[in-house]
Amino acid sequence: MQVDERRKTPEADQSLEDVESGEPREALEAAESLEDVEIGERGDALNRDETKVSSNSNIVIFTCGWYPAIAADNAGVVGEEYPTDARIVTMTCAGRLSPALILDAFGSGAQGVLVAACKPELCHYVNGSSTCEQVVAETRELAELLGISSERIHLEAFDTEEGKRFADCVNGFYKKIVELGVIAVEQQ
Amino acid sequence: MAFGESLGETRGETREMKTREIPRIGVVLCHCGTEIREALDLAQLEKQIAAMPGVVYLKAEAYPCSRPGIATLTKAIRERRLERVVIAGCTPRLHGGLLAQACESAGLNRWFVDMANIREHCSRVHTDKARATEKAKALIGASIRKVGLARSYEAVRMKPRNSVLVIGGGVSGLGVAAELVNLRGDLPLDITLIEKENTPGGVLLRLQKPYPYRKAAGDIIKEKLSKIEGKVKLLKQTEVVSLMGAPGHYLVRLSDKGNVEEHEFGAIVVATGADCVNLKQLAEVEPLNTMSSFSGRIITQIDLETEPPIVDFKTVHSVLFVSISVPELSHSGSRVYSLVALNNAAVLKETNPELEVWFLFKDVPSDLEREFARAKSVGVMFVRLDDERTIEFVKNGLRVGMPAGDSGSVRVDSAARGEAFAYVDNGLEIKGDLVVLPTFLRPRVDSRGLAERLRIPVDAHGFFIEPHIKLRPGDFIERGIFVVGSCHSPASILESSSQAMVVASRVSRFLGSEIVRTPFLSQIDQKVCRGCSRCAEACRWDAIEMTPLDNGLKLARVNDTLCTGCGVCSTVCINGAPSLAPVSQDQIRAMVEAVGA
Repeated sequence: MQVDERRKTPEADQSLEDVESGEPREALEAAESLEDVEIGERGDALNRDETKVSSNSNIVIFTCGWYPAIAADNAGVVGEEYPTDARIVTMTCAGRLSPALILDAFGSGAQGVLVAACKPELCHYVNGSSTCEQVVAETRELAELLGISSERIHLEAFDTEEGKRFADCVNGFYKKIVELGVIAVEQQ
Repeated sequence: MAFGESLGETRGETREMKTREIPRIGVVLCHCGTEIREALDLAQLEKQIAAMPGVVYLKAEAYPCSRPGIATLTKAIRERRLERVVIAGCTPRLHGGLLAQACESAGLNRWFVDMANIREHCSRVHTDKARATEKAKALIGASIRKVGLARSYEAVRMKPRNSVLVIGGGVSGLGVAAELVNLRGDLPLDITLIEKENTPGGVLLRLQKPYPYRKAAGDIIKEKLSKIEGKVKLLKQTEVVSLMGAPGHYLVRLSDKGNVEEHEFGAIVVATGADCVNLKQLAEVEPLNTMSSFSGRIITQIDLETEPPIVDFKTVHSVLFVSISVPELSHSGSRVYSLVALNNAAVLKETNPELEVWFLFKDVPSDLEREFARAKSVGVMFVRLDDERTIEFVKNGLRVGMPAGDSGSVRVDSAARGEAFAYVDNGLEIKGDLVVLPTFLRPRVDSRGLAERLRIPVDAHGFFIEPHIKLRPGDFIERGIFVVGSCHSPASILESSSQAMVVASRVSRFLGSEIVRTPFLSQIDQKVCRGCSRCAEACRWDAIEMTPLDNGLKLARVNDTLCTGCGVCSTVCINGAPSLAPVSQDQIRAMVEAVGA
């Protein structure tokens, strides 16, 4: 990693003044010294790291920012475990989820998309959840045309405090995605 | 937009980055005491984040939400000239507002700040340290991409209109109006109360002396009416046709006997009450199939309270009050029904001492101890039922079935006179010639229509529901619309009156303060719009207008006052023209890319 080379800069020691005791000094030192790196040099330091744990069953979870987001947080509050491959993207409302975004998730390597919406009668925007239902149904058809099993797209409605159900749902969906395997992409 | 576009293209490896246009991003990595530090490999994480494009400042901190933590952050923003900040830690719902405010105070726009949730979404739900660290990196990476593309937006601030519309002239609606008149000294306010019927009063008009008042229900209404007389605009036979606009500035069309007029209101109070379920309707949802074998009369509580009375108690010897709960009707176990039944039983026994009054019940809420004691003291006899001790109608009264082996242990409080009851095989027979069932309340038939027009949520049965029963009682999700009384859940007169006070104070607080509207509104990129009008058709709020251009084409334009920010327009556009400021579709796409890979 290129940044490592540039760690020892004159200002690095000075910037340590705001390090509080008990914190990992080395890492902070590295981080603080970044300030002195010219922006031009930073440009090519893209996050292409070699340490990535290989994983081929990533799930993108789109959560509505209202109740499902609270349910997702609640899973953390009650400590319900689910796979690390499940990653959450919070939006204002599941109703703004477009087919393009769902397919984008597959495009960037996800093997499954879970959409967590509010219960339709509780939708903050009244028609967001019902729109989401339609969009997901349409996208499932589109996905089939593209050779992606419609089973890889799942919509679930959550209320607040449903952390356990959220985790159970993610676990169930993840199991299905692992069973389905990696999306087969035809090589050109 | 300049830097946003360029950063959005950096995902390809061959593309060049325009160096001057990368924002300076600062990342604060919260340890949350030791919680996150123990769950994730932070040294590794810091290395990886430091290598991300645009990151010029990284600070690991035990508590960034603490006062020293915030001071460090604001200092860093100023001194390191940070243009974007990502705070990786707990859920934005916890300290998001606080930290965003801190960043704002240091001169950063609110939308240049994002929180990556590596606690609830990561450290707390995973046990594999290496993989959790990998996920945390992806989550923080997504936030960095998101703020990198962010644009600044300012919240819209405005004063609400000083007018209130109260829908419904029952005890709740009149109560709110009267309370608002009381509060008027603090606030100049136009209050309009609309009533669907010709006379205000609602269900109360049918009652004689409701508990705990010692006066006729009609007088309660008169008293409330006299309080608001001349100070509140009372429109009879008027209904809401449509609602447009946003909190503080609602445009409401009211139909006054067919004449539709437009009015502007700052706030709206929904007090439409509920309908009483009569015996015929009750039989439809809960067929008490043995009811036909009963030779006496069956009524509901409201028939007992109706003025003038419909039952001549000179011909009645024994009255049986039966508490039933009907799963088909929501809130059928509400305390209101127990309250009304206990009170009516006590009043009946007090006024007709020679009458035999029985009370068959499953549960009475513990806070009705006083009413229970009162009924017991005047000589009402109680029979406790449970799942096994069920009731059925027989010719001369009711029979309480008992499970096998339960020989006559039904507790009968107070010694009954004469031959009023007898133990029979597997049960207890109680004689009676009048059975009183609860008068259940259910949502008005048009409540769903009103909910649709006012865009407020209802529960599965049609009662209006608030966003949080404890944190925001009386509110709706949409600030500026409030709910009171039985249209929310069955409420007694006392409950309605106290709810009216709560709502009146919330309304006056709402109207007295400045409204801050988030800039979460649809924005249509005019360079991309082809004028197909799909978005205008999809918009539930009619917030998108198609404006014709000189060359004959059309262009979609968003009316900011009507837009609720749902983002539905962005899902239907095939060109991707609409976007929900201040988090654009591109930003979400960038986040998806970061977490999906």
